[in-house]
Amino acid sequence: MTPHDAHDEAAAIWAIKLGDDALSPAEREDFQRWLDSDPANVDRLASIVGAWEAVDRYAASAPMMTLREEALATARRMHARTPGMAIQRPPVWMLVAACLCLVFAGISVWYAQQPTFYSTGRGERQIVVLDDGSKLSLDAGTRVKVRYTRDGRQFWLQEGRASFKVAKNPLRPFSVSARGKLVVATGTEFSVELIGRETRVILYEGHVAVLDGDARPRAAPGMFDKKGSAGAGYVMLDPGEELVIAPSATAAAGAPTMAIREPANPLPSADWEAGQLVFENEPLTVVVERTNRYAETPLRLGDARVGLMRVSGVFRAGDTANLTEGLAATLGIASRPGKDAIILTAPGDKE
Amino acid sequence: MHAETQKQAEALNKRFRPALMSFFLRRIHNFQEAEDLTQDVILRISERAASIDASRPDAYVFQIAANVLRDHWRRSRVRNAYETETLAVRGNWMDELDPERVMQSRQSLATVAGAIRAMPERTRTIFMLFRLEKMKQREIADLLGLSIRTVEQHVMRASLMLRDTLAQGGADA
Repeated sequence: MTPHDAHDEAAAIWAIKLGDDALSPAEREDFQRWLDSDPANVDRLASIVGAWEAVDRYAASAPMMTLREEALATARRMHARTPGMAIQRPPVWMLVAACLCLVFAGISVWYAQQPTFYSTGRGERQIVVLDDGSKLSLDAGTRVKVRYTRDGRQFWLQEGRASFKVAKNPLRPFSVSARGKLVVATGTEFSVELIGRETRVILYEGHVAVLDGDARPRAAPGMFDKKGSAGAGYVMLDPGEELVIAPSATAAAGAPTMAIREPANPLPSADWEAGQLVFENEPLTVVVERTNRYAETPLRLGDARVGLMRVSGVFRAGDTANLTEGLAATLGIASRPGKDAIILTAPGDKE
Repeated sequence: MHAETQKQAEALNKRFRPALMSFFLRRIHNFQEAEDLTQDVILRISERAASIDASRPDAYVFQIAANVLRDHWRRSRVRNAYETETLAVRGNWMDELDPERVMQSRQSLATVAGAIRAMPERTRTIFMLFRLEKMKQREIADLLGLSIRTVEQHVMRASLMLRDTLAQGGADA
């Protein structure tokens, strides 16, 4: 390896500064002076940048992925040794117990990794700020399991709908499992909903990859290629897009369908977090399920046909009477009190 | 949407700003002008991010850079006849003018991966976080409990090692 002279080192430092934050006015002057001092300096700069481009070009290739995983693992180890930065240490009394008895040591580790459950009842919403600064918001009738470990943040959406605002940390991948699908995120904001037989993911900001199968990926979130190829086993979303995952029509085929759709503008941000239920050409089955997360007396479909009718509109969560009036006025859907529920029937249906 | 464009631009900055700056600085020896043109390119890409060919983003970016530069020359009346002719005659003039950059970036995967493997572990780790995970030096320093200066030294050494290996045409590959 040739020894590097000061010119080369300066070129590398300037390349690094250009790739990092904006230069201060003083640095700009220094940089201009450095450029002017030797005509070969700009070539030195270009040669550093060219070497970086060679690396960028292979960023998603298998050997480079291995290197990236190794680098992340090493960084995690280095991070763990950093004083004052340890994550999720068991409380002090547990450490004492661990010293006293080896059996307890095992238990304390087990305890620290136990998942936490968050759930909301009918008509109830909840916002949870997690200890890394990420924010979890639960719609009514929702249940989420959370497990934070040193090298990962895992969520399982078991029922309902939740949105996630992710604090960026590439060393602790952030993932949400829902019905055999895994949503992997970096610094971003998105929601996941189980509705009917579908799973829906809406991305508000940043990037997420949705993977088939809910095993934790080996790759860090940044490693997914933009606009992942369909054959790659994952789908990348852009902000404003909604991914609808439905079980395949023929039960035997097994493979679910994944379709990206772009909701009409403006982006239907997490309206439910503000107590609104927004429907854009949704089947009544979806409307009923979402409404029932809030309704004291649930709505029920009189038959399958009425469930297919399409509804658009904005309703206040929990205001079932307003909704049924709207359905009657616009679509002629009739409602009548039944046993423990309000029954909806299509116009023309007599019961 | 505007905030999103901003974010997009930040990520693109990290990836392409050094390359674009050196591209422009070779042709216009003025930091401020090179900076303005670089920002112009980044803005144009971030507005059209969705339509970038993901398999060859750099080709697209430098195509835009070439257009921006051409416009700049057209506007500033100091264009010299040779450059204008070069632009008019050759479609691939960028490749002709940046031989080392192109030569380096066409090194084989084995050579590039080998050069990275040859780095000391700590240097390699910091370089990977900086260049591939797109972290800022400040973020890496905070994460690993190092000073920014130490991070910078590691990235510098890694970059020079990499450049030397690639400049030799990957003699050890």
